[in-house]
Amino acid sequence: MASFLKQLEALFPADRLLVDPVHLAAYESDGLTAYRATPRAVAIPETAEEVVDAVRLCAEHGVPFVARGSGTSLSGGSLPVEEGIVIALNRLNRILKLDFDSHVAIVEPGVLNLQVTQAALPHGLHFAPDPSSQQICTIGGNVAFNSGGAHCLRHGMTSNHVLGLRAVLATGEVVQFDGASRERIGPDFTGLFVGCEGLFGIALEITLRLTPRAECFHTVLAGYESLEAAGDAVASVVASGLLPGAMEIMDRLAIQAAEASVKCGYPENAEAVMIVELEGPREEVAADREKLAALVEASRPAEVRVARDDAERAAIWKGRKSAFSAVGRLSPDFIVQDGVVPRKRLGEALRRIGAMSREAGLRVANVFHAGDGNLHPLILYDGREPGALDRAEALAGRILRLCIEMGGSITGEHGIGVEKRDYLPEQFGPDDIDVMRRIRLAFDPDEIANRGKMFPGAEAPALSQHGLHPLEKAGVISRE
Amino acid sequence: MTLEPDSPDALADCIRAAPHCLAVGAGTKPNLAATAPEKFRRVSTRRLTGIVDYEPSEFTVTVRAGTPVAEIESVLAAEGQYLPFDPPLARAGATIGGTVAAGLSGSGACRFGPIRDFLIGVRFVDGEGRLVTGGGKVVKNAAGFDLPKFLIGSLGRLGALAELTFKVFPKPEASVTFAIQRMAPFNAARLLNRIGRSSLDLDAMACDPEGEILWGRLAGNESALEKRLERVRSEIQREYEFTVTTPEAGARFWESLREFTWLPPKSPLVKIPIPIGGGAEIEPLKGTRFDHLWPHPGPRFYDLGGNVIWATTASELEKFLQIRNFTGLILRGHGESAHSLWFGAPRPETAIARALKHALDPHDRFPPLT
Ligand SMILES: Cc1cc2nc3c(=O)[nH]c(=O)nc-3n(C[C@H](O)[C@H](O)[C@H](O)COP(=O)(O)OP(=O)(O)OC[C@H]3O[C@@H](n4cnc5c(N)ncnc54)[C@H](O)[C@@H]3O)c2cc1C
Repeated sequence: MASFLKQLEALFPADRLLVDPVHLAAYESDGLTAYRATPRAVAIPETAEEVVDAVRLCAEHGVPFVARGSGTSLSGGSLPVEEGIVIALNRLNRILKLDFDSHVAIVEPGVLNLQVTQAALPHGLHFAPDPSSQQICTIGGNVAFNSGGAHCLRHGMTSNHVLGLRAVLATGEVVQFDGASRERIGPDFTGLFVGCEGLFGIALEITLRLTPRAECFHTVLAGYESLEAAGDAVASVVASGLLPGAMEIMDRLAIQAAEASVKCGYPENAEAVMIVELEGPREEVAADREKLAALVEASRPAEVRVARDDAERAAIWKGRKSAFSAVGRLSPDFIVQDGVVPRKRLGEALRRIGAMSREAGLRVANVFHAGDGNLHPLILYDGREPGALDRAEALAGRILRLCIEMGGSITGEHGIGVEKRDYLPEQFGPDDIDVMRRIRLAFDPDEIANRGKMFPGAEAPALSQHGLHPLEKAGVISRE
Repeated sequence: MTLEPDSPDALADCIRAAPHCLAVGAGTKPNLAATAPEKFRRVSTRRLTGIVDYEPSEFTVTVRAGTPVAEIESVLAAEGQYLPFDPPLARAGATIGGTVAAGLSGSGACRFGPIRDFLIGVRFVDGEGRLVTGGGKVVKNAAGFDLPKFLIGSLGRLGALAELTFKVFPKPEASVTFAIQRMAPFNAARLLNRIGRSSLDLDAMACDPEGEILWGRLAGNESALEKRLERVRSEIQREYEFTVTTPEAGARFWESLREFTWLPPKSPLVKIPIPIGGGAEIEPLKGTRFDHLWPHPGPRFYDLGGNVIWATTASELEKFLQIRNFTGLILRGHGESAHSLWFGAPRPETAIARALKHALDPHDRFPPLT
């Protein structure tokens, strides 16, 4: 290790190689604040070559490394490894190419998600994946986690918008997978790399597809007297043949929290609200909105609001986007899960989560991407109460198992990380996991890239407290 | 004798029993199998058919690999749904497994994306003869590595596909096709860019560089089509002739594109992915006064909104692709075989590609990817 650190010092000037515990503290956790680990060092490269050199040095010495974007992972993906280093990518933040003719952007991994859209919007284009952390999370992090957002049903996740990438693999090999075309031949290496959770290597340049921003939106908020009625309303919209850009549901606890926090003016006393947003060319939206109005009417809502302009649309979304941090403020600590269930079983899933919540004596708020069955139950607890964290984790585990039992998935967008690695073998069989392991070893025979993540069996890192991400506490971001 | 397993387990049994094998579908892309040496025993998916699970309310369908695309489409259509990427060669009998293994999408991919944007789950037999699951059966899922995507385009060389789960979408109520004539390819490439960047939301766009026609399709609500068509028309400069086809003629055109009947029967067929706008690079002289300098690259069609060229194996085209560093996949050779899978610039050999092949197929049970 000593000789490794010496050589690392030769690669990075002192101000870009952190070894002092005071400086390392900032990198101990990510968005899953329950866990903490101190790395040996944090290297802060400014160029792709420096990243390659650092990775090659790690490979040579068998020292583990963890790539880090903005550290907003909610599953412990960017949690450091104690015997290894963190390679922080925020300074690789250049948009290398914006090609509006080919609808393509080539970016470095530290570019923030929202920056891509901001650069493309003047040309009528945008980068479609929009995690609610988009002001702060990086494209590298999005690639590693195949991040989603509220618009996945229609627009897909990150992987549907990454056309190609250049990466340094954990072996030190530098590869270019695919290019600027939406089509490809041969196995889809880019598709495999996206969602690798940092276990294959580090993406250095990412080729993104830019898509035209919809010309017109139509946003409807409907309040219901029961969660089930809201769930049924979503089902009827889906069955009708409409393909909305987004469909969301919030339950009473989430509504109240959002109201207290941002005064979003959602219907009072509603047990649940549904948000549906249509998008497309204006003539198309005009035709769809009539169909939608009839469906919403038939779903017997207690109240309906239709956004008449951008300001009203923003107001509807504000309550939704703030919901998680708002709920977080109701309680000293919380855990958020992001399991998926088949859409038609949403009602049943929510009923059972409600029952589990009562049994555990813990409040659970629900805010979710109803259009694709992606739950986001938020389990509230007080970490100062003896045993509360254990009960909360046990409840979280029961919810994950419920998702598997219903034929869904333990994660829709936050990834396995350290948090859910013990549940991976419940969703996949031993042979499935063995194949994934072999793929991991093909990329990384010494398992130095993000060691201990995704696969079960590794030692649990130290627990700290649960709670809001520091940036959420500061009100900079909020989660979905 | 060809092996014909009728279930995923039987497929795994067959593969375990054959030290060298290759899964084959209906043979609509004959070169993909023909290039594999004879020692690889053909395992046919002819009887590995059927819809395993279809949940219209979930927008998901799970099918056995040998199921004909046409059959899946008619089952989906009965519920008002479809595979938005227009899998090619459906009428010719293409199977869904062959479509995934070949990594093929058709014109409709212009709007909602190619096959990679719709395949969400797989069961396949790896080189150890194990039945392995990747992805899932729900439309959103981030658990584990994305094996479904990796197997798209894997040509049966990494595993034998047994079962596939797709996300499906509601089928648009109506569609309309238009043609823009006298459009030199260079200008067509520019127009493709401009329209593709606009919010007109075209369902399909294709260009015939020899006939100098750009074809487009709009799909959606019947009541909105007329106005949307008007807007497309107003985007097009007056020097080009803009015609709206009859529904029959429109359907015939897209079908001929999708079935490759615009080519002489049995003619070679190559898929060449290009960046949007790449056409301008490939056809720089066509339609200009330097036209006579342009070597004859043979019949070809730009499709998927300008992301792919369908062409033949004309040697002048191959030389050109080598210069421009584009590679194609030969789906059909002269006769059956072209002696190679790839066309144009050589594909880079990487250590990771070899390592991944070894990870999934450690005993070289399936043919090489080269
Ligand atoms: C308030 C809040 C809201 C959120 N909302 C959403 C949401 O709506 N949808 C959603 O999907 N997620 C959401 N997230 C989760 C998180 O923002 C995403 O997972 C995001 O993509 C992480 O980006 P990051 O830059 O913070 O990555 P980090 O947390 O730094 O890293 C994430 C993972 O990526 C790896 N990594 C980073 N850069 C690279 C690279 N260049 N190459 C290879 N691997 C790399 C890391 O090793 C790590 O495993 C939210 C998080 C918070 C805190």
